[in-house]
Amino acid sequence: MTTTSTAIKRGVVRHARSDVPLKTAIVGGIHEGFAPEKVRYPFMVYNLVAAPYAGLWGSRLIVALVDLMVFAENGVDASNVDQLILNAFDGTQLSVDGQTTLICRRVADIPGGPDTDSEGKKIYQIGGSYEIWTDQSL
Amino acid sequence: MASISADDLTLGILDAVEEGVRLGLEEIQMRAQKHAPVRDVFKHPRGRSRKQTSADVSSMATSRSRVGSIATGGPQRAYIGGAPHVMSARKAQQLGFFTTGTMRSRTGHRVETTERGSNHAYVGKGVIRGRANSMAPVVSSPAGLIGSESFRNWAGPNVLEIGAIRRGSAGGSFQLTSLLSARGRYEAFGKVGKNGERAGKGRAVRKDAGGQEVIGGRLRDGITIVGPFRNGPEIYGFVKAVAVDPTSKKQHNYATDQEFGTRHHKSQPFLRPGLLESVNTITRVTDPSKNNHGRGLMQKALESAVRSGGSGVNVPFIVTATYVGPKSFSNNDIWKKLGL
Repeated sequence: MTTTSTAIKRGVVRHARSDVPLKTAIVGGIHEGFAPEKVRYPFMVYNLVAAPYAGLWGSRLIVALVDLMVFAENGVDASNVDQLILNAFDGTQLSVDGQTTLICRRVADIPGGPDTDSEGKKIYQIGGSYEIWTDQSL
Repeated sequence: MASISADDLTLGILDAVEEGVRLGLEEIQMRAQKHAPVRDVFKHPRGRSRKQTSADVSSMATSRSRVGSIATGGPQRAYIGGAPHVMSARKAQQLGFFTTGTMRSRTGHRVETTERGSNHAYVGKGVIRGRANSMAPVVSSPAGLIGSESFRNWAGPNVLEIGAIRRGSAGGSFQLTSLLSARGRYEAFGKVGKNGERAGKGRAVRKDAGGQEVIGGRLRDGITIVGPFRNGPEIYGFVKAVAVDPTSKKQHNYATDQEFGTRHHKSQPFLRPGLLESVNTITRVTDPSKNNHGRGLMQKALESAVRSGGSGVNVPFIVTATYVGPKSFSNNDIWKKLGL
């Protein structure tokens, strides 16, 4: 059975949930895209940036770029959780349904300046882009 | 047999690589522009969220093309010109079959329906003529108006509205329907102050490179190429995006917000998808002896140079394409180093 980049997103969330230190640290949970207003800080947001396919002889390569970011009320918390995300994902072997993970690595930081939320609180957004290469036979 | 010196060959290859880099940058720019989110100023099917995806933008491409450049399939923009903007007029007594009527547009232009007995809806400068209930399409434009089928082949820049004249259920109302949404009308026809500037979001109306007033697509038009540059044997360039909301006092470049998201806003990446989708097109290498048409842009440029050099030189090359992080979005050290 061939699967799409949705399986990669599912694999990312599954992996984040299975990492105990990370799961404990993100009290606001894991959200796709952005989180509702009243979610507690810190929380993690993931977003699939792009996932172009490359057809090989007998197999398909998907190069997915996923942003994993943390939102926290202070920069230290944000950096700490970002480090936990790095520990969990950089160089790991993701479990992706129907696909074999070739590479999962952090390729860039996403330094965001402090923003203010709906209550006027300063919010820090820190994260990174992770490149995930998967292969599946056709 | 032609001969070529080593220096000439090196220069020729560098020129070819520079051309390949330029083509690659254009490819990335084109794809990034395709992905760039565009504010919704056109009507869309009921129930559709205002937040746009790239699929939404694609689905509205036809509407945008019709209001912008129709025949050429050019930039999907809404041009604002001096043409009358008519939303509706209710002078039923003047709009019986083949009677003459007048109405005023929101911008104060006089609009008339004068064509008694005509089977065609067409428009003159500042004037709309048509037969009520004809449902014939019309386009208003200061360059003269286009009616019936001819507007489909017209590519003039100042098309403002496309619609159909029809008689409503109230019995004789006359209406030119607009492709613009309420927001689009607000932005396009916002009040103009004493200094000639529009108020509030009306300032989102801007002039494009050709001097035409347009709404929407500020970010898409802000995606530009910088380079290519030569630094010894290294040739490189950037695709950058700059978009500043004219209604904000902070002069904040919201291209970054769109690419990476904020606390309040989901990211709608456009630069990085553009890059990732282009890498294969730029760097793909195939065996020329097999007449394979899957060559990448860089290989094509190099093969062209080698052919013009008259030599069957097999040139190894390495091409990488990557993004240099969010700093590339702003006026940062990179640009200062380049003196830009």
